[in-house]
Amino acid sequence: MAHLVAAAGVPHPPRFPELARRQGADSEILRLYGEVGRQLRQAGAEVLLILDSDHFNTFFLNNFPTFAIGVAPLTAGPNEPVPGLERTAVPVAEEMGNTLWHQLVRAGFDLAVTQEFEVDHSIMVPLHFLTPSFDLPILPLFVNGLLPPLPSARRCYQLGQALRHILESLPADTGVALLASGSISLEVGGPLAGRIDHQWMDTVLSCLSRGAVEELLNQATAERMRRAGNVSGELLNWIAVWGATAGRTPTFLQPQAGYGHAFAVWRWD
Amino acid sequence: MSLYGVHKLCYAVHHDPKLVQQCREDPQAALDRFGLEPAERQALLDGDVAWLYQQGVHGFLLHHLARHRLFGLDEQIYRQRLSVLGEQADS
Repeated sequence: MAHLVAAAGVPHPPRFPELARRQGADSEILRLYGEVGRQLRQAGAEVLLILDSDHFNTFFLNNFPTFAIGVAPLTAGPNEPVPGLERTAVPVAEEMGNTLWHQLVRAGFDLAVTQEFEVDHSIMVPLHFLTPSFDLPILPLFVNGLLPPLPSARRCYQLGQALRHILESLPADTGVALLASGSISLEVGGPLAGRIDHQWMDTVLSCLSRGAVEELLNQATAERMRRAGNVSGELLNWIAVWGATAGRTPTFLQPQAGYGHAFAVWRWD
Repeated sequence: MSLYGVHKLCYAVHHDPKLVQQCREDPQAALDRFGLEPAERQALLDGDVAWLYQQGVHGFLLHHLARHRLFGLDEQIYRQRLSVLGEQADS
């Protein structure tokens, strides 16, 4: 069977690749992604299943899925201008993706599928730091975190639970690590831009570190996440990954409070 | 107002450098293919992002106009114009 070897959560600011390069070896950005990457490798990750919110680059309003999975032999990105990132090909765990697509629909999660797609900064920025040679196969599972109406936090948590159940029943013995890509409090291009909702940051980080699943699922309403910023729905990716860990407390949790985001790892090996 | 044309323009400028160029050289013609309503068209030409935001244009997409410095906008002007809205969290 496939086994979940670890889980993690990281942010994906498009300016981080350039910023980290300028900061050099002492960069906190390099240190934090470096720690997450090291732990994922140490845990034996062979596939990186990424819970991600597209930023109107892979999908647009002509066809915008609430949940979608990318199933293809290969993808590439970023499919938009990102300073310091060249467009690069990335292998996709196609067979596992195909199975997850079928099994998740069977389990009541009506995913859309895309068999030809590229990915934006929200996948390529984390990969740039975590797997700089872009050789680890990924599997993107897209969750709408930007365009109201968002799926509910509880639904996303349940999606994570279903993912775990399905992965552990797969015949191939592959080490799968889950990665949530996203911020906790962030607004881009709206009147709240530049403001971090520190109260919401504290609530989310406190719930994660106490394993207070019900508390976070009750509090993370669309309205509350919206008040924390117009891309704060990316927390849904974290919540889905948390569901796959069965609500464990992270073994590593480091906020970057000034940015409204955090780095986390869940290990159980 | 569906705003679809406005959203589509914002999406398109982020993925099509030729359209960015056309928006700078001949903004009237560049907007022709997006099926805009007259008020939307005028707001875009005026760089009136506060009005567009209030109509419900998604901030993330709207911001592409500033990112690509179109319709007289840049990051600073964009922020200034949205600041008249206070700290709304509507769309």
